[in-house]
Amino acid sequence: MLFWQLLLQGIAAGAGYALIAVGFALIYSTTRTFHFAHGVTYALAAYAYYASLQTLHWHPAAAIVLAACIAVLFGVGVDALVYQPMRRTAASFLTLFAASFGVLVVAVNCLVLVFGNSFYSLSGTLSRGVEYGPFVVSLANLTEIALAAVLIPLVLVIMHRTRLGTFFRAMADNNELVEVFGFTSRRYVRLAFAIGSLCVVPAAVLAPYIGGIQPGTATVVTLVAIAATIIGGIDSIAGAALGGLLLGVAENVGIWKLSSAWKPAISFGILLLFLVLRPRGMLGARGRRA
Amino acid sequence: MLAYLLNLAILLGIAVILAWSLNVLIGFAGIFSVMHAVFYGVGAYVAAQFALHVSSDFVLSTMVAMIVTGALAFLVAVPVLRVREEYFVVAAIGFQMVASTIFITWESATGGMGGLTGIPPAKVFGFELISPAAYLVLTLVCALICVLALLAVVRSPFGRALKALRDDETAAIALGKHPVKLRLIATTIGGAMAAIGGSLYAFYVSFVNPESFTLDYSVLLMAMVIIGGAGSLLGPVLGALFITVFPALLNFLQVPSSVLGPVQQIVYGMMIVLLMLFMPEGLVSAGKLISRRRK
Repeated sequence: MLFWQLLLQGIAAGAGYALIAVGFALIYSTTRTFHFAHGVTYALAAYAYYASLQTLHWHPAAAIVLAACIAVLFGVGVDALVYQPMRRTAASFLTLFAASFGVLVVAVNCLVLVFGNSFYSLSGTLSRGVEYGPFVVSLANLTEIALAAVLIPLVLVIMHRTRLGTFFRAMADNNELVEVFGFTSRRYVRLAFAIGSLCVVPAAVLAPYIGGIQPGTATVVTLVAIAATIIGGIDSIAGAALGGLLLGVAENVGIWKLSSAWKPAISFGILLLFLVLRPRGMLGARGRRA
Repeated sequence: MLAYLLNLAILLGIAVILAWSLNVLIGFAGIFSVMHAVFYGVGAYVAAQFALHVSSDFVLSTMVAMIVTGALAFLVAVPVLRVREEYFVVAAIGFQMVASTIFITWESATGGMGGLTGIPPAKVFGFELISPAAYLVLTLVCALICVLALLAVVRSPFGRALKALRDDETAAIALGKHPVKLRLIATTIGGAMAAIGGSLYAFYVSFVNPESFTLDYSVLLMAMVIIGGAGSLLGPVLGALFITVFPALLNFLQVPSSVLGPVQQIVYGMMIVLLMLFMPEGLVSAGKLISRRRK
């Protein structure tokens, strides 16, 4: 019985991870930017929502809009201020990664300075539990699963059925060729960052109702999103979603047998296993370019 | 005041050794390792256990720590180095997270959260080093040995092959160099060298616990190498100097302690971003001495 309860919780956590991982995968596959600060987008949106609701007493809808705006502004802003100048000088992967890592460190510690290191959580209708037979699940969890089930297919439809998606896939496939055809991809890079950043907003807004938020979540979320993306197959957005779901389930079901101190180690144990046994991930077609 | 400076100098010496050992990976082999605190920690734990149960001889414990840590670095590198660099970064962080959990939960070996206490003072050739001044001398001797070893490695055929690999992997492969093998050796050397730092630390503070070997410290070590300038001998020294002395300076300015940690991290993070944007070769490129000779 405990197993099924944990599985249910795992699916809810996995839905959140999947949304964040889809954002990361979208940005990575189209722009080849290892956006390590992606978790900051999530944390900023969560804190913006929390603060505008709790301190400024805004209407939840207004708070969600603010969170979304801040997420997009941060993603596009980091791209414009940090990644774009580096792309122009053809910086190596490591330089770009180090800079992104630096952004993460700065942002997380700014959050610590402003909000402190303690956990913030919200209680309201969303945090209330719903009983269904022997199971208890919170409304926030159900909302998260529902949103992921709607938004992730939406992103996939955009990628495969629209002109914009065709463009994104062309960039992922061969960016030089896109430029040879006379399209400037910079506008599309910005769009990829905007959409990728928007993907984290549902999970960020629901976070205060589920486990609470802390500045350190930004780092953890980044790592889990990247782990999910790699497990799913780094160029595949559907793979990233599956990877996120798998990690959420594994982390929660893992507590069934292991102590909860192992929770963060479980995801990375799975990641290491995948790297050794199947480096191209679940749905990755291209594999490593070693 | 003298005691304070001695303490700072010893910690700086340990940081320099660690930054050099990480530089073997980042600067020489192009391996972006964000797990160096693990090797530092394993070195410290092994040296501590050896000192507690077998002998407090510094040379002997350090040797054992280096062998164990080097072997661990090798074993970790075998699967992990086969994947592309983007993956490696994440795999390294993942490994650091798993290792941190093991440090906390494997009570019989690491003492859990409480750590290992009561490590006896280091003995060198039968003499017990009790005064901090004597310990500083020991630290400096270790640092000297490390720098001589690094110079020897850089100038050896192996070092040249590494440099070739870093500058142009395709060309190096065409010349018959085996990238995975070279990187494996570099990781093993880096890991073993980090164990020297770990052993020095364990004997110095006579107490080790998981809090010294977290992801945060791995990031700090990485910051030392990047801020100073990867790939040079002087760079990590500058980086370690900056990162060790800067908090002391903030302390001196009486920044409240609750703000101290975040402010430090913000400054390091900003420095990394700005350096990567404007001076990707680090502080050392301001006075290119060693890096030019190496080019």
